[in-house]
Amino acid sequence: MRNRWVLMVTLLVITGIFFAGCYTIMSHPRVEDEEGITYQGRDYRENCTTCHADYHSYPYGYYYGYYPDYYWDYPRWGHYYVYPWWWDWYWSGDEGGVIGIEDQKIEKERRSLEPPYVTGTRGVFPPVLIEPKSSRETTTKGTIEKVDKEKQPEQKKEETKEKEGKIPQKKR
Amino acid sequence: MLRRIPLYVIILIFLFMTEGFCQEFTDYQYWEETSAGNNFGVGARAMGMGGAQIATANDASALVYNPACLAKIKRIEFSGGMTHQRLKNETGFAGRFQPSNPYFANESIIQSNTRFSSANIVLPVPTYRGSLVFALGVNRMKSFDRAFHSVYIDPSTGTTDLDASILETGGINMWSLGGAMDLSPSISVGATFNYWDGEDDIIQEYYIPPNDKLGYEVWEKNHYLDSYSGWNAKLGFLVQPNRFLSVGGIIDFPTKYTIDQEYSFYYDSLNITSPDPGYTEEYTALGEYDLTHPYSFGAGVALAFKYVTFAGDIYYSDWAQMGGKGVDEKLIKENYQEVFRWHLGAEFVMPELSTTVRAGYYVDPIPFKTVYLEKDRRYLTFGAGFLIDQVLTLDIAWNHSFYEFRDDWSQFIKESYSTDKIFVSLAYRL
Repeated sequence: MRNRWVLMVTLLVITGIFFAGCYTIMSHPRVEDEEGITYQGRDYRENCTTCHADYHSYPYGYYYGYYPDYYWDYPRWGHYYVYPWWWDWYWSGDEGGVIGIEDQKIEKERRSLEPPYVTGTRGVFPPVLIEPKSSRETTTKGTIEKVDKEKQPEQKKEETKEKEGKIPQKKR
Repeated sequence: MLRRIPLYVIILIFLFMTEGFCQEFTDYQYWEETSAGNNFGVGARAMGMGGAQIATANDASALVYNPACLAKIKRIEFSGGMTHQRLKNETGFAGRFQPSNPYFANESIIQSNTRFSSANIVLPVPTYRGSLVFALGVNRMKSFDRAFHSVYIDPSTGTTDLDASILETGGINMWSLGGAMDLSPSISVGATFNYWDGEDDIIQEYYIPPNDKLGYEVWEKNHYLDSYSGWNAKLGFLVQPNRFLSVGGIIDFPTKYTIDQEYSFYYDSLNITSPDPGYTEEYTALGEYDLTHPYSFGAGVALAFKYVTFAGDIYYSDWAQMGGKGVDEKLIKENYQEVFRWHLGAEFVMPELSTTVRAGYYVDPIPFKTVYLEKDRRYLTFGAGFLIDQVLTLDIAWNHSFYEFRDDWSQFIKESYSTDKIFVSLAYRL
């Protein structure tokens, strides 16, 4: 009888998880009226701040976990334990529509633990939204080059987040 | 079902044969189901930390310790491991008093085994938020490697009256398919489905040299070959309420085994006092029985500071709840007990050296009842890990244990075991 109770409670928990929805999602939810929009960002998820003003205070897509500060000083630890393998594609390649820049590859890989939206020597570029059937004539690369690095958003929020310990303090 | 006859039962057999049987020895006899307990340990990192992994597993061994911890893995991992065990068994006089009656000589036997122990693949699925990770692998969960040698001497003549040995080898592998996902930024859950497969090979041999009292010279050999197959599931969760603390728990569902048993018996006696040629008997038998292990529950806590992690686990299993078709459940209830197994471990990281050192301690109580258990199974563990080129980890661990059965009151005899285990694991993350 006791075994049946344990089994029943376990099944209820599993069922509850599946029916209540889940925190883990594989891709961005479909947003109405934006199916035709193509996002062309230079960095991983930099477009997120367009719609998510609180992006930097919540770990969308980024590894949410607690890890020690030495991961910054010795990036090999962070690379091995917490850096998602699928981010390699964004950092150093041009797959998935993301533009790779050769002269920044090595630097990016070396600092592989760094969240893509953290400002720093590389800088964060604001998102570029290309409307479908736009009359603007621009290439992706050309658009990026016009970006003013001084107008970076969310610097203040990022500092707040570092104090909260969600992202380790970066060494500069 | 009969797995191993310990020293006390050998006493019993011998005393039956010499007509010196005393009723009190009937209490000494027990039956042991080898698959109960006898966890060998999986993963060099884990076993360097005394097996305390429910809240802190961070590699493929999470399949074994807590599948929810798989959610912490962010890179594709291929890993494998090997183990080496050196077991030393000593039997003989306990040392407090010199018995005046026939007694056991001090004897020892060493058994060494080097084995492949694990192969695992971890596949994290790209997620937009949270974590979804699958893993599959095979791990050697239980080891039946054991040896026993005992010599019984008649001090009045100085001759050997009985030479007994038991050699047992084998183990059970667990083939696992598991997965884990994040339910929230701080909560992960996981599950594994496991297929268990293995063998237990036991050879018991007794030799009684030409004996004037008996009038016979006797050989006897019992050979058991048991093939285990079964399945079960495991659920786990992991909660990280803050950056320092992790709490985990697991439920191990009952494992349902089918055991195919082959048994062969050989007995040969030679009459030394008459022209009667003696007696020889030889036969084989096949059997099958079902065995269901009980639920097992585990809970673990880990405290992670900058360079140091402390971890502790506790497991509960009530082995008296074992049962199954063809099993004498009354015998099990009489001879088995509930067991709390606990583990403590620590890990210290030296990041500039890409090196980690570990230490641990754990107690794995014997699941059957015996009044002669002097020291239960306790393990002291040490280990080290090396991170190589940010894609490879090499972990090494050493475990040492000692436990002993002793009868200080009637026979002044002991049966002690010491075990040294070495674990080596290599993991590559793409």
